[in-house]
Amino acid sequence: MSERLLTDFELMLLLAVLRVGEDAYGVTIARELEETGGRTTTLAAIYLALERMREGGLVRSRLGEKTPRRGGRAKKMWSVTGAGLRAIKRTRNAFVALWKGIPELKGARA
Amino acid sequence: MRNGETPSRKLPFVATVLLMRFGPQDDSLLGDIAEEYQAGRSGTWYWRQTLTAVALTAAGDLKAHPLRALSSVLIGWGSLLSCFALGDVTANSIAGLIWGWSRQAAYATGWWWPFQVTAAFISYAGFALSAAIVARSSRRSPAMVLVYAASVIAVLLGFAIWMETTAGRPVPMPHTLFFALSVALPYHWRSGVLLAPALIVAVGMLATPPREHHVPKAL
Repeated sequence: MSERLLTDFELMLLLAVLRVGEDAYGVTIARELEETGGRTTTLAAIYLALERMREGGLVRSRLGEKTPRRGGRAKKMWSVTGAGLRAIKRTRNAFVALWKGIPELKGARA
Repeated sequence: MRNGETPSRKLPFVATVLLMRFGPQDDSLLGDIAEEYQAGRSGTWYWRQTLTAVALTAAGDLKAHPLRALSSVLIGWGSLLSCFALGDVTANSIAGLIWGWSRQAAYATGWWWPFQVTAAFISYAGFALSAAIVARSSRRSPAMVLVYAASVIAVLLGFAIWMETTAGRPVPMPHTLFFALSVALPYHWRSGVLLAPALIVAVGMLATPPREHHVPKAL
C-alpha cells in the first residue's frame, strides 16, 4: 500500500492530521477537513480511511483521554508515520508533474 | 460546553442502539459522535453519522465476508419459509377459533378478512422470528441482519412491482410463499415492503448481544 499514490481523500486526511498535530483525533480531523479543506464528511468515513491507512503503515494510533461527554470512551489519537510522509510527497510530485505544461492551467499554482 | 464536562443532552436512543449494535466495533468513533452531539450538533447530524457508520460497516462486512452474508440471507429465508410451511393450517385454525371462519364458506361469501388478519399476524411473526435467528447466527457480524433485511426489501419490492404489472390477473403462488409475500399485497396497502424490513431490524437489534468493548491496537 505504501508504494501507491494516495486518493484525494486520503491525502486530505493525512494533511489534516499533520495540521492538527498532537490533538489529532476524529473530531479535530473532521473540523480541520471542513474548515480548512472545505470538505464535509462523516466521522465513520474518516475512521474507515484512517484504519485502512493504519494497516498500510501510513498512520499510527494510540488511545487518548476518556471524558464524560464522550460516554467514557477513549479518543483515538492519530499521527502520520514516515511512510505516510513519503506517500504524501510521492502523491504531490505526481500531481505537480501532471500539472506542469498544461496551457489551460498556466499561472495556476500546484 | 468544554471538554470533560458532564454531558447535558441525552443521545438519540434509537440511533444510539443502532450504532452500538450494527455500527463499527470502535468505541472511539462512538465517543467522537457523542462528543460532537454534546457540543451542539443536531439530531439530524447524529442520525446521519449513525446511518453512514452502519451502512459502511454493513458494506465492509459484505465485502470481507460474502459467504457469511449469503448464509445469513439463506438462513433468514430458510427459517422464514419453514415458519410458513404450517402457516395455512395455523391461520385457518386461529381464524376459525376466534371468528368461526371457514375457508369453504369464504369461497361462497367472500368473507376473507378474518383469514387476512390472521395471515398478516403470522407473516409478521415469521419475519420477527427469522430476524432473531439471523441475529443469533451471525453474532460476529451483527450487520448481517441488515443484509437479510435488504434482501427482504428487494424481494417484497420486486413482488409489489410485479403485482402492479400483472394487475387484474390472479397470481398463483404456493401458500408457504403467500405468507412471506402477502404483506406486499394491495389489501395490506403494500405496507410490508417497509414494515417487514423495519421489524427485522428492530428484532435484530433486540436479539443481537451488546458489543464487547473493543480496545483498538495502540501502535
